[in-house]
Amino acid sequence: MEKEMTPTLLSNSFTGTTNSSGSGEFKVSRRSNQKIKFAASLNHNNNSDKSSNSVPHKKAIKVLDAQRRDVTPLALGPTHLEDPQSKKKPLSLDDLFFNTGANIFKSSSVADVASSRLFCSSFSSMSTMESGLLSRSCKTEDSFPLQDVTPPPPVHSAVPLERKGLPEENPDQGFDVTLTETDTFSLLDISPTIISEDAEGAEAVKQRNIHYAEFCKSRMANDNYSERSTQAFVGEPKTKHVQTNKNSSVNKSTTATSWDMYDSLCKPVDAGETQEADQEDYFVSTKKEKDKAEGSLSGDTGSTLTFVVEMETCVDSLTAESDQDKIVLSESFQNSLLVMERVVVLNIFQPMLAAFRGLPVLKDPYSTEKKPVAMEQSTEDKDWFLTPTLERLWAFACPLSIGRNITSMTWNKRNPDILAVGYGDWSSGSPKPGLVCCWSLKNLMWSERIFPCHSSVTCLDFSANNPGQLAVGMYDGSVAIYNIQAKNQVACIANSRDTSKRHQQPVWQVIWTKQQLQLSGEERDEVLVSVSGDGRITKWLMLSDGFNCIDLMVVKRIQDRKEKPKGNQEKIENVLLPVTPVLCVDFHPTDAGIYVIGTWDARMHKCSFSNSAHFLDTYNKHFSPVTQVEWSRFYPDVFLSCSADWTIQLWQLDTMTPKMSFTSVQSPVDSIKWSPNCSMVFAAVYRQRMEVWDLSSSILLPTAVHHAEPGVTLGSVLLAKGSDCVLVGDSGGRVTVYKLKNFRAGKQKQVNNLDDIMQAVPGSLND
Amino acid sequence: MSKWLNISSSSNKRASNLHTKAAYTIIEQLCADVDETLKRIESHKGVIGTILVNGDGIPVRTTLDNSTTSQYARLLRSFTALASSAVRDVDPQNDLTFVRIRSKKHEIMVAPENNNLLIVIQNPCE
Repeated sequence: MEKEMTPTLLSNSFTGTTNSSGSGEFKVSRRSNQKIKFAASLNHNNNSDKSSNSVPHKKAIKVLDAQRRDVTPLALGPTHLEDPQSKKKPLSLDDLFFNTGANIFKSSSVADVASSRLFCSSFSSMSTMESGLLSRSCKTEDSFPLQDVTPPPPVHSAVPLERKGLPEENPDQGFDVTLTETDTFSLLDISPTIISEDAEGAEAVKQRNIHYAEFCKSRMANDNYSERSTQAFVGEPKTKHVQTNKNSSVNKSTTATSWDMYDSLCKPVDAGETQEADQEDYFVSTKKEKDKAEGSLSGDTGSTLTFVVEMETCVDSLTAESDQDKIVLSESFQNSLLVMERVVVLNIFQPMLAAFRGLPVLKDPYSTEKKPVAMEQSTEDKDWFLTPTLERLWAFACPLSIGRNITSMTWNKRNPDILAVGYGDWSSGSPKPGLVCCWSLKNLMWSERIFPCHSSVTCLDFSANNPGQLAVGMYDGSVAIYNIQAKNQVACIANSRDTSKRHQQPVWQVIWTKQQLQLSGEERDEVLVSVSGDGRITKWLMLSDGFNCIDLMVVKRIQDRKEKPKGNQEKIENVLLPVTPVLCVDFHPTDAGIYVIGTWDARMHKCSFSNSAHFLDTYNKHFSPVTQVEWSRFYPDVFLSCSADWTIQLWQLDTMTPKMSFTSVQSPVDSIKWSPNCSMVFAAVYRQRMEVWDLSSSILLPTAVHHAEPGVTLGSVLLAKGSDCVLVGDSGGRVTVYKLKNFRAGKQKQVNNLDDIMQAVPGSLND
Repeated sequence: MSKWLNISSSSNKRASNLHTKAAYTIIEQLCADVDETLKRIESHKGVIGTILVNGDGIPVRTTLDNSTTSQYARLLRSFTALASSAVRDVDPQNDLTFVRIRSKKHEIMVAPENNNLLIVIQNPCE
């Protein structure tokens, strides 16, 4: 039996009515004859007309073609279960996209293709799949591009089928349907005509057109036509999360200071290096990278204060140590250390140093300690009638030097703040190694240069031409020159230990003297002269083959004609006897060719630099070895000598007898020194005391006396230039500095001339 | 009579001993010297503390407690920078060598060199 199939328009079957009624009808599109076999389907009530709302039966219809292939048109949605004949509509894009299990048809109004399908959550309904039908549709239609969708074979009946009921007795048997295509029915044929506007009859055509347009408009209200808007397919936006690194921002600013610009000009071009080396910024930061980055800005000054960051206090031990080593080894750090130490010490000793320099000692207004100053101040007002005293200021002592006996001290000729002290001790029989320390007034607690010597140091002298050179004479007879600008072993420039002609006996004095050599014109060359216990007065030179010496003179023991020879010795003039040790020497301040030596024989000789054979003069007064001779810097031809016979004698050059003599205690005089400031003051050191003589106030008694502490003997004395201080070196290794207070109270009075004094002494102290 | 004695052989031996005394390498000696100097400074009268700060502003060596140290280091670093900038602004070829801040209670001395700082706090009137 044939199923009745009436071609009806299917245009409305998707218009939102769930119960799609009627039979599907396709526009006739092509001619094909196909035989389709329909499996029996029972109820076709719903096939009769499209307006009926009948509940479809549940029985499926199968269509088989001539080759018994199942060409049952597949339903697009569950609604089409009821109506198997409702063929596929001209597929919209929506169907293709959303039929993947999407329950679109069920959930939304089928009619409104565009909006509803788009905005319903198609994915959410994806999960609900209808049964096999949909899945089947999924399978087959997924791969369908639109154009491949073949419209199902047109349901077309060659003959209008009568609406008959199907045979009900054997529903499964099937019946054959033959479909053929008819000829094209031409329903309407109007040939278009175009006429020009100028032609006659154009008006009529226009009128007709207008009529027609109005007619069309009026027909718009017809239910057959409905306006529908469509919308282009717009892809659904999809949210996607993306993550990127945050762009960190750093505040940077700089102040272009003039030194900043100068540095940029002067620094090397390599920027990488400058970042490393150019630590111009003092930015406090915790990270090195930040530091480097800001180093390239080469420092901000005003902005640093606002950007100061709290610093980590925890120190990474490894980096700290390596940092420390790096810092410590750098030269500038050592310099800073030096300066810092000096500053710290100067802070401590500031009042003493102020007193040393003759500056007023200011009291610190904030100091918490109370000083008993009031008493002293009141007494200082009365200046005339006070006894001169020595006020102890400080002592040069450091752990290295304590305990060593001081034998000599000397000031530097160029820098009056530098003091060289020689330490040596031979009293115990075997001489110990000596030490030379160079102290600076800027650091009173630690000697800045320490040179150990292999033998006890007996004498020192600074050179005037090369102020950094210090000549050292030692107990074993060697003479060395040290360069105090160097710090360690390289300081010793010359040492006479290996020289063949060196002294065999202790060198008792070294002295630099300016001699006018033939070769040099105006410049006076300096020559180092040493006197030693082997009776030789030698001149030392730095020759090409080393440190060598030339004997100026060999002092031989002579027997005075007047002396009675002892024993069997005959009275012979200038008998060559064993040499006599020379204990001291001093060159004339103005005429460098003349010098005076003091010998063990208690004689003093005036010698000439050029004459190596004879003495020019001999001064006999002392009974014991003459320990020190010193010319006065203020009065020409006046020199002072002291000896172990407890006396100090004042001589004038051409007078064979001393002008004045000073005695105070019965103790050998070890050393005397003129004051460099005042022509009338000199200091003398005995074993247990030190005396300062001011000839303008008294010629019989020392003006000030200082007693040594028990247990120490005083070895050396020195007066400071430009300051009223006297330095005393003792056997404890200390150089104590005393200020001469209330000295020369007679400043206001007329200063006596030394000549006057000498002449005032009645007669001469001839023996 | 003791003033001149013949040179005994013992003094020669002592001479050679002195030469072997310098057994340090130069660097060791240097470090030891610097260490010694620092210790000396710390032991002077009135010195309250010393701080050595490196280029990053981290105290490398200190004798004070942590909080005080970090405070001093931080503050003095910026202060020294300011002082140095002031000095160099006037004459770029000049540079800061030393800074002393005298206050009521004590004196702070800063020696800047090569971006490191050596800080010493001293109370000289103790």
